[in-house]
Amino acid sequence: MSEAGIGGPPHVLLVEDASLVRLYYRGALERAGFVVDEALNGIEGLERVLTATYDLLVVDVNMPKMDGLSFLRALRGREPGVRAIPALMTSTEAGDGDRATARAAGANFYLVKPVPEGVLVAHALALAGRQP
Amino acid sequence: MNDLLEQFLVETRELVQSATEDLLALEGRPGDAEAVNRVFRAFHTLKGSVGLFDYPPWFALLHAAEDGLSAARAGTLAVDAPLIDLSLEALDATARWSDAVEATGRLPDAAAGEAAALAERYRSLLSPGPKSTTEATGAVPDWAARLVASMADAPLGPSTAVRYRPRGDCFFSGDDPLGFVRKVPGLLAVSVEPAMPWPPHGEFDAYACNLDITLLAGTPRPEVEATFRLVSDQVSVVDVPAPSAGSTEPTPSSTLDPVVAAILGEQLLAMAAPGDTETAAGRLEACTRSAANALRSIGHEADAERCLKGADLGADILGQAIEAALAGGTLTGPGSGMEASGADGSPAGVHGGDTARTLRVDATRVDALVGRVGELVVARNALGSLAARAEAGEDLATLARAIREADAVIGRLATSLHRDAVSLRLMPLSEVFRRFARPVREAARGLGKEVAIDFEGQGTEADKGIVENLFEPLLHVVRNAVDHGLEDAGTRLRSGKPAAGRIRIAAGQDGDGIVVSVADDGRGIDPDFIRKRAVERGLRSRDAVLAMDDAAVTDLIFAPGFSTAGSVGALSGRGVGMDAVRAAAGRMGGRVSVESRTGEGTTVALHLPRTVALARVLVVGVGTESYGIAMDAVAEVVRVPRSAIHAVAGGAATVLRGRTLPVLRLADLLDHRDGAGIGMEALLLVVHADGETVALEIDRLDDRLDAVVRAPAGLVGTVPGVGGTTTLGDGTVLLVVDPAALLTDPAWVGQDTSGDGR
Repeated sequence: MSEAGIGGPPHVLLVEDASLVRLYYRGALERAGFVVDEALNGIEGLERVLTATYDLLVVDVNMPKMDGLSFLRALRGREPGVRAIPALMTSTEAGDGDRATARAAGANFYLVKPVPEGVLVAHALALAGRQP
Repeated sequence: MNDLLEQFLVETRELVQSATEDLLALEGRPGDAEAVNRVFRAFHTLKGSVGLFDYPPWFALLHAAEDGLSAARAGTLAVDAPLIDLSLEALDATARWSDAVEATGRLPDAAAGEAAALAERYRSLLSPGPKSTTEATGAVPDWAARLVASMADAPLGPSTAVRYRPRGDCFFSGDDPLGFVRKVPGLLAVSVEPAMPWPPHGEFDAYACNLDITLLAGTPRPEVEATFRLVSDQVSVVDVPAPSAGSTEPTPSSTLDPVVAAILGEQLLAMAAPGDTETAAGRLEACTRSAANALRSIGHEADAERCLKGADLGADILGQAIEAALAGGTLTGPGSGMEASGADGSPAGVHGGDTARTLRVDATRVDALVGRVGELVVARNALGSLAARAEAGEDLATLARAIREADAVIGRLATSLHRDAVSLRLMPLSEVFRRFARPVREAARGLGKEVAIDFEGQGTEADKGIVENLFEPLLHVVRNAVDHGLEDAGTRLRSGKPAAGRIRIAAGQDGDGIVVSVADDGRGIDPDFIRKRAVERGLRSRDAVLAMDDAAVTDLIFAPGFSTAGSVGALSGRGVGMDAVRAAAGRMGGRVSVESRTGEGTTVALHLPRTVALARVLVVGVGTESYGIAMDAVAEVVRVPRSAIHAVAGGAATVLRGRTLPVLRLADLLDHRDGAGIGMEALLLVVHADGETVALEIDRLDDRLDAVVRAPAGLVGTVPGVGGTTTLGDGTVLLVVDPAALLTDPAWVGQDTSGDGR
């Protein structure tokens, strides 16, 4: 069940350190009807996730302070509800090993950057359970 | 999207710059692993940024470059001249394309070809010898092409496509079709369709496999084939070459929405992935919710519910529910999700014409400015209390003193504020200097000379307008120095100099302005050669040049027409562009000087203002001449019938909106004989000067421009009424008239009494 409720707009948290990428994702997701929050690293991401309700997380891998993989591992070990938020991981690394590591950490989908706007939006909507 | 593009362009230029510097440094120290790493990171980031926009050739080039530098970083590719040159070319292209994108919103037409050629060179560096065999593969079968096309993010590299049609009785031989699919390494896309149309409900055989599975993997063919080795008779495997950039056209998919299918498939993989036990519950719940959400997003509520219920019973049951949904998806008709990323999936609306330049400002300066504004707000509060005191009837002397104090405080703050605001536009010259290493290297290389370049005073700051316009003229000077100033190594050694020539670009404060100099330790300028050339060119007579001292003769290199292009040297003719350098310095409100000692070297210095005050200037014509007038002084421009100008005692006057204005002819004031002053109408500038309003008659209104007006100097300084000069785009000097000075000039005051000036 979506924690934020089916009625309202879907809430997404971007956990991403690159400002340009955040700007781009934000634009794309807002146009698709998402309400967008941002966190610059995994630590900020955890703070956000524990204090607000999200339908989806869009998580970068390489970030300072706490990377996306550690963030997901920490998240998936938390209490029910919070730990079940779908996570879309985006990274410039396209190797199989990278995908496998992301899965093991608790990612629900993996897109290799650059992610075209349409692709990002299609996956984000589906993972958040919204009609495209 | 303009914000994004703007930031992208700024970042791209910075990255190109820093990577260029690192590459140049690597030429001298190929073993510098840190530098290799930095170059790699720069290309990596560039690739990521370009990928945010829709420039496939650019992206493909940066991708290839990243691969090459990744190999260099790993030590499998030598950091040598071919790699460095190629990478510099890639950066060049990137810089040019940034400019093109900024100007036009798109890449130049030639970019695709150039990108492909450069990328191919990276590839041949990586795998010398015959080209890889994947390119030799024939046509890709339809089903594979459809699969590639259905993928929103098409694979960037070559991939392997598999069509797997399990036998109808495969379940009885222990095959697990979806199990195989799950094990495919680097799985990119899966499509599951019925092999035959589904039979009517009553005849449906749940134990017969009726699946046609196609999939795409990013891994090489042998690895993929290994996965299907037990059912090799039921699969066909083909190599799919990397898509030629931009050619993937999504075709409508007739299966389950590919995004949803991919998400469902991914949850199967995720559940099978190893992971920490503490997070197992969380991961399973997240997979459940992801799968259920994906199904719900296309209206498959029942399947979504099954997944949610299945999750309670464990991963296996959830897995079965997902597999069922995946297989069942074949019955549900065309997907609906992919249109979102259809043909026009271009994320970047970069075609807007808004190319406003951004200014990067040191945060401490902004902080200072904000602080100052804060003080001003506080100071303003004092005015309120002063008003209250005035209302309370405080005595005037006390009040006046208080007001004067407040005025002093606000005045001081306003001055600081102005200074702080102006400082926002200051940027260090290092921005310009750093761009020189490359052209100097190329110029020297083209001439077979050795050149060492160094910099001094990069921290010197000047207005953005100055810094940005400095590169071109400075480049002329630097190229001249390399081409003509510096001797070749042999000559240098014979005259007791080190083989490598030396060029120093230095900057420093010079009073209110800055001075930027280019010094070489070459042969210097031979005054006698200049004399000879000046006479040949008809610039000066033989007697004149013989009478001039060497310094004055050397200055002749800046004279227009002194040099002709292409006379000597490939890079620059002797002295080519020195008059252009002078004109450029003039446009920036500065000047240029040269100092030379035969055999020891030449120093060319640009003396420039540190900050620029732009004035709006109206260019007006009088007879055949043009003059500028500061627009501040001009209240309006009117045309009046000549009959409305009346002779009055001591001159002429006209009535404008009930007000009588003296009419003066600019031609008379400037002592022009050829001002026409004829025609049915007179063109008048209504000018405020020294508390007076007068109408100045002119012949033409030519132009209005923003220009740097310099105080009059030299001979011009003695001309009455001239407020300053400015240099026009074509290098000509425009006299800017100061109406106040003109009107108080005794010359016309005298004229005042000469009766009807007309």
